[in-house]
Amino acid sequence: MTTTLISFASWEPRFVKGVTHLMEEGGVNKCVVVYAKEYAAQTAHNRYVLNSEAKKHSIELIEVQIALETSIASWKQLVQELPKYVADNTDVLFDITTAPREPLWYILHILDALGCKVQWVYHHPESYTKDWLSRNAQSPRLILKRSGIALPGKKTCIIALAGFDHERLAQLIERYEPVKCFVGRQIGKQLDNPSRNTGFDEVFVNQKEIEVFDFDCYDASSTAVQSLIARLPLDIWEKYNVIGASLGPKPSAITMFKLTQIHREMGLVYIPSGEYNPEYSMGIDLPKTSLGSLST
Amino acid sequence: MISRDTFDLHLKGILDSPKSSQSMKTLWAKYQLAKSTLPSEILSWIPKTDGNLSEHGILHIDNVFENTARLLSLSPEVGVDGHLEGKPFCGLEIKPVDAFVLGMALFFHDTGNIISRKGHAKTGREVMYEVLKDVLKIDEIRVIDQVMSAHSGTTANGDPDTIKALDDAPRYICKESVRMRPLAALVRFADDLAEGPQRTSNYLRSKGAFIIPKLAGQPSDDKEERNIFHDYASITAVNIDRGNGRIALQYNIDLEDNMFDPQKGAGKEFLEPLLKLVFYRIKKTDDERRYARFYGGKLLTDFHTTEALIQFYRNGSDIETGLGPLVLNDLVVPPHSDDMNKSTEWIKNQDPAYDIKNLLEKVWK
Amino acid sequence: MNNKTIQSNPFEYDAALNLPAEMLIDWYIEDHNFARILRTTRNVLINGHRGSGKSMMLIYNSLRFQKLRHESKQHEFPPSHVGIYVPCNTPLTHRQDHELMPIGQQVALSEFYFVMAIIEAIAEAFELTSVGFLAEDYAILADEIKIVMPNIVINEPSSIFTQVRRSVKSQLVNLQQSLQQGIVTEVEYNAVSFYSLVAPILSALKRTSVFKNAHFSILIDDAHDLNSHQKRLLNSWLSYRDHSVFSFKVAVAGLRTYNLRTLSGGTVLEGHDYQILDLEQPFQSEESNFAQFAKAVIEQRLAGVGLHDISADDFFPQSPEFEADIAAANVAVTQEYLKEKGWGNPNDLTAEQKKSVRDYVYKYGRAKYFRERKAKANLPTYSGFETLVHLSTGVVRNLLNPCYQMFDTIVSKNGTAPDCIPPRTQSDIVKVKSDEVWGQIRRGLENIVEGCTKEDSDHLCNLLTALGDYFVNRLISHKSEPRILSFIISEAETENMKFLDNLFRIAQQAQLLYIRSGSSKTRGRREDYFTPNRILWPVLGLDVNGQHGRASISSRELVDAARLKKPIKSYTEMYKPSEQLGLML
Repeated sequence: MTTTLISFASWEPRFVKGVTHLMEEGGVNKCVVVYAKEYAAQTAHNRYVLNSEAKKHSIELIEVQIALETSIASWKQLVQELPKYVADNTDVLFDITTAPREPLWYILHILDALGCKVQWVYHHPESYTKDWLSRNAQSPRLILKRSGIALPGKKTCIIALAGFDHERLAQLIERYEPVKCFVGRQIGKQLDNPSRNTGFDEVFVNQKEIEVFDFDCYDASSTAVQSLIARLPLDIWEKYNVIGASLGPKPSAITMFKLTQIHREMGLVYIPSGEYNPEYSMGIDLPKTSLGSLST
Repeated sequence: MISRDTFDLHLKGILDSPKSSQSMKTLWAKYQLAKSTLPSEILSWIPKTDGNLSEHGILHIDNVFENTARLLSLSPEVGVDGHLEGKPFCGLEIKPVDAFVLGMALFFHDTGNIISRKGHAKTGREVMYEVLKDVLKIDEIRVIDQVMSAHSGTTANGDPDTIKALDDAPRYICKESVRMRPLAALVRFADDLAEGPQRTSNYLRSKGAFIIPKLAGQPSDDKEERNIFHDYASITAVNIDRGNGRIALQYNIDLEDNMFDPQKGAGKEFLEPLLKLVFYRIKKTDDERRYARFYGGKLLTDFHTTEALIQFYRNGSDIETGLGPLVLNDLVVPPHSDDMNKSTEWIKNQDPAYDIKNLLEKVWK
Repeated sequence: MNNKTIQSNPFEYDAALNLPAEMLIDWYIEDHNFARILRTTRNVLINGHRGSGKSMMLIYNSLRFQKLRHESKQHEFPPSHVGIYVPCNTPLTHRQDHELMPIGQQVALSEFYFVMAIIEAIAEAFELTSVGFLAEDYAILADEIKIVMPNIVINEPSSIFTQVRRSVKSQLVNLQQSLQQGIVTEVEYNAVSFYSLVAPILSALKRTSVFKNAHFSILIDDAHDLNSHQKRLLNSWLSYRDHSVFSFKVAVAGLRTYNLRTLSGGTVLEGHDYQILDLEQPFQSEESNFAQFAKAVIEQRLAGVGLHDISADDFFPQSPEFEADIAAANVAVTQEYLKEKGWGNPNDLTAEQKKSVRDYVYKYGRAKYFRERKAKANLPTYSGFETLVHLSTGVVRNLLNPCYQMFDTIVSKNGTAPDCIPPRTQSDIVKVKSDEVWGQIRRGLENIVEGCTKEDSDHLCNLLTALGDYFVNRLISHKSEPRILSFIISEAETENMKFLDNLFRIAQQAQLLYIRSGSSKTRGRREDYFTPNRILWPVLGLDVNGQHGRASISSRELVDAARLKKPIKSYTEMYKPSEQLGLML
């Protein structure tokens, strides 16, 4: 059974190493590399290298350029291009490692709508930069096609899976003024997690409208999704307009997407960054690779 | 944002684009020459010939250009190359030669003031001829002159309907027809709306500089008259709102503390004549609007309303008068009444020849 | 906000929508001028940044709260002005579904969402608030609603608003569900407009016996959150001239940059189409509206936790040492002035001379104290209710926030609620907050303010630092207005202003700067003036009380300060600075 591999280009080493590794493992006959127009120059070298790798393995490699600037631009481009390369019942392996969350969710939506069988994979880095990771946050925006069911007269509730960036969460809370907020905080000591999370407690723990609980954001299995749902009061879906945010490790985006498949009334929100650190991460930790299936 | 340069952006777009003919590019060159010559040679000297005149120089001309752009609702959007984004003159019925004549008329319409204020609408032609005789052709001068001379004053036989006197039939420049009446309406209206603080100097006003000198033979105890037109300019804001079909006038009258001393009466002495002038100008603006709308065709047909709002302040703080905007529009609601006598009387007032009694007499003569 | 004091800390400052109703009613202080403007039949645009009290004002004037006020405080009911509260900071408003539509249909969908939100607000208001409709009234309403909402089924006229809400919910759910399907966007919905649905229902309400003399105010909150089509729609509705049945009261954060264009490309104009109610008021003196309002807010809050008959000044007392020092400085300055003028006994002065002395002391008394503090002294004491009012820079939330923390600190320390906050505690909290704000600026605003790059953040940091230095130099050296803490921009060149406007936008969003409109020296005109958040100044040892007046700084100097870290010199080259004692530079 052959598989179409979809990935999102980045300047990070784990992009090209991860995709190469997947190609080497076999079973992939086509590779679709989505890349952002805004970072075309930064990703050019890695894409070139990947192209060579694909040729070595006789894998057809297609590049799809999208613009990240607006939701509608990236949505329209993906809707136009992706169906050319995946069809009903295609097996798809989606490498989400370096995909920004908004196009990640659009790709998942399109694959889901096309009836594809989707496996996802996430490659961990060896380390992250000690400096800033991203900055110049833009205005939060709801994801097209996954904006949930919003009704006037209801107050807002946020469900967020959070990692390092507590300032993003603060921005989200400031923006939407939720009456209730449920935050799954990433557990564990990996990748300097404890030291990077020092601001979290001061800002959020003991805030009256914010309930914090520990959560493994790398686990996007159906069990994990069910455990997340179990954490939440039963009546929030009826009582509030619910918005979900993935602010932690990338697999949390899968978790939140799966949550919208169970609770269609939840909308997904994305906070774009204007800048990413060119030294975002170093290396790749292949043994630690996370993977899973999209099915709930 | 629409500014003085917006008109030039569109003019260049229509005359000097890659697809423009050589004759149109030549017209653009002529316009550029006028633009480079006029301010230094003429416009910056106009105020100095008559110190009490509210500003008729460069600032005024810039204001008239901006007003024209607003009346036509020209888009100010430029592309990355600095050129106009989108179609010049936004799809209005303005041909390249129309735009050229319009631009030149806007530039020259007040230049006659350098000779004298009286009759300046006509003497502008002399100035134009002197400045650009080596550049403009005689037919170009004629057409531009006709358009700009209608912006004020009367015709040779004293008729204030100066636009009517223009040929309804088109004139030609570079073998292209120019419709003079709509352009004249535009120049006139844009000029009339060029009012506001930019036409005066608050500093000089505060020093009492704008005083109309006493005429010889005037009794010595008669007070010198302050030039109320400068006061008017300082309180006026004109909003050209094509989207809502209106000209919205706003008057911000700020009164000093000493004007509230009832014994001194300074307040009433200041305010009453000023309000009279304000009401006069509101009516005039509305008349000009209707006049322009009549002759302006599709260019000005959207402007169906004049609004005016007067706000009073005491040393910068609002004085609540409860006054809402005064709305003058062209709406006529057909009457429900079947009273034919009213219509008969009304028709007769429009034209006395349409008196039924007289008509019957003429028929049975 | 700490859980354990949440029930008893009177200085709670949560978002108005999240406050319990009884608390909001108890805490709200009505400003007579604002109330008068809100109760006109004209459209009103309410300008106020985050924390200025816009939402609280609108909610207080909404129907449900009008009824609650009638029950608890015997306010008029039914009211002559019925408020229908429509919040716009909602997930429904933030949806981008219209982008999926062809251009021509984007306005239709945007209007659909907006109109549905207004209908829901009307229906909810009347469903949850008993107003005393008679059977005939319900019949009038039912007849009208059946015409404008043909698919609605009304079994019992008295349940009409419940049915309307169900219909709205059903239409929105169906539409949004279909929008989530698949890849291609094909949706069916009954397109509605304000005039086809909302206006007829309001007219029908006005025909009822209860509201035949009433006026309906549609209270739109956070209109800046609407999408561009909805803003233009709202502006078009604002330009509608007939206010016999309804008008709009629209709250906006930052009217200065709000888009006032209508759908037809026109513009709504102040005075002609709407009035402005500016919540960002002058606050410079004890007699100012804001100072009076702030006092009322604090005293109301104190009364709510049983601290009756304690004035705001008594609860937040000034430091006696500081008061004595200021008094001494005032006396010294008075003596200097009398000597300079050659006037003898102060008791023998005329009224005009006495006023002249008072003005002089106002200008230079406090300045003398701040200038002549010992070089190695700690920062001044920042305490006293008046100081807190000035520190708030005229924004209610900026007043409540430190008060909350002060109260919390005492409770944490003593275990019981205080009957006053010691000056030392007040000052410590103020300085900590000042430090925190500068800390955030230096860490970088690019992580917390939307659309702020690292470069913008650095520029803004430079600019605020330069302004701080400028105000310090001014305090030390300026001859006539040493304590000014606001400025206007002179020589506003276009390119400079483009650069500065971006920084100002960021500063406003971060609540570091407030831009207000005041009368200019040119009669009849208004100008923008800029007041940095005064919480910035305690760490520099400035007098946060400030004084009336605005410095004039050229746009070029501001740009150079931001880009090149050049000091703002406007006047310092004209005056020789005296020894800079006790001021942090």
